[in-house]
Amino acid sequence: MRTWDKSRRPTGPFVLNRDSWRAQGLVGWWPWGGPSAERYVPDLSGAANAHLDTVAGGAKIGWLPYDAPGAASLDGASQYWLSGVPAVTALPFSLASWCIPTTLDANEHTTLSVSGASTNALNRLSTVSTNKAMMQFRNSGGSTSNAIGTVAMSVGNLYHLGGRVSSGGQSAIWTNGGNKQTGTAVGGSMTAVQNTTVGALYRASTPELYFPGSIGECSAWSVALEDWQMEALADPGTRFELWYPLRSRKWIVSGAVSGGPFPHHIRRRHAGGMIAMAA
Amino acid sequence: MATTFSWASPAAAAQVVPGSTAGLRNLANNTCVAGDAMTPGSNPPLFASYVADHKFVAGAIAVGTVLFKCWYCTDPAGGTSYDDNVSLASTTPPSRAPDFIFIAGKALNNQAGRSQSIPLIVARPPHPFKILVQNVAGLAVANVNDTDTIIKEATVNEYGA
Repeated sequence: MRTWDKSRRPTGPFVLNRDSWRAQGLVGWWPWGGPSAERYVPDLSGAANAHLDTVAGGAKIGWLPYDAPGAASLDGASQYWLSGVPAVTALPFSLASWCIPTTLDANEHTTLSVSGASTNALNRLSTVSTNKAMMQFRNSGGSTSNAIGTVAMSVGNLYHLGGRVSSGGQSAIWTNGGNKQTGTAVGGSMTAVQNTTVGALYRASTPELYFPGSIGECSAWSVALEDWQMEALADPGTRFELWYPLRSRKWIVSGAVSGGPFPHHIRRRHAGGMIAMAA
Repeated sequence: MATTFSWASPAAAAQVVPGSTAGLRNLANNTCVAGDAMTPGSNPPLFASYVADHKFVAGAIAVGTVLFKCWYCTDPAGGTSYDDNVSLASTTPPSRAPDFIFIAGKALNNQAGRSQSIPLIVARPPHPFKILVQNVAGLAVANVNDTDTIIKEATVNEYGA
């Protein structure tokens, strides 16, 4: 019997598995480990082509000292990636990212946002209220739906943030695939957006609410993912249902093995979708 | 019983984008050029690694700067009419994500440099293809000969037992 040995790190190259449930409605996917670099992370979804770049002459993004490239380390003061293409433009939509915060305080720190010129162009995943996760949506009329988690996050730990905004303008947030919390349904529509940003919010050509720490695989969908999908996204093993290793035979073995997610040390080491593309 | 796979010996490095005026020579910033027509033929190799020897005009290029973005432009129908997502002589790159990139591994200022592809191992098309290169270093390529700036590949397969 052949099964996945999820305790083993797969080796690349990888391809996007469009049959995966994670690929349905996927319009933005920045896995940090394909043709990415300190100043450039392409959108590998093949949909929105919202390729992220540091602004010309802007800050280079650091990397965590893992053996796999991919965990972006941001200073929380000036560093972010920006695309002139919005990954999503209308309701409903879903966003997800991995992160390891190095600072949690009363300020809000944005991991992934889709924004525009108007202050109402506000669609983002963020930390908020000292140490909680938040999905924030503001409709074109200025009404805001904040879904705020109740799990206390702590500095230096890995978190998966999953956020969803329904067609009725209601935000929902998952922290590590659980603790679902919802905001008020405000209805309306999404304000015109022009940008996708990782590591900050970018409105009216001004970055703000930077994220200090590391950010991993970010994703965006133009659909409202189901609850079970938002829960499953936090299992790092499901990444390989989307990001299929062409050399998969190297990590398929005979015999029964655990089908669970990666052991903690593997999750920590390759935080947030940062498995190397290369062997 | 687990199956063990290993790399076969990689092929010798061969040019895929020339350093001549038909290729990378004096390529301006944000400009694209298509490389040689590649015909994988029968039993095409599965993977390839790429290396770029490069030199740019005077001006500072910081470590980590993306120098080149590269796309496979294929013609599964036979090698005469490549992917029209992009004009192969255009300055407009494909809107899709590049298949591999090169970054500056050291600070550059009119110096010769060498970069490996990111990702290191790339799934190579089995169909006829050209590699489209966009110079995004911020500076024009500088050549005094046809080998100062050139992109080569070394293909590789894997053994299973």
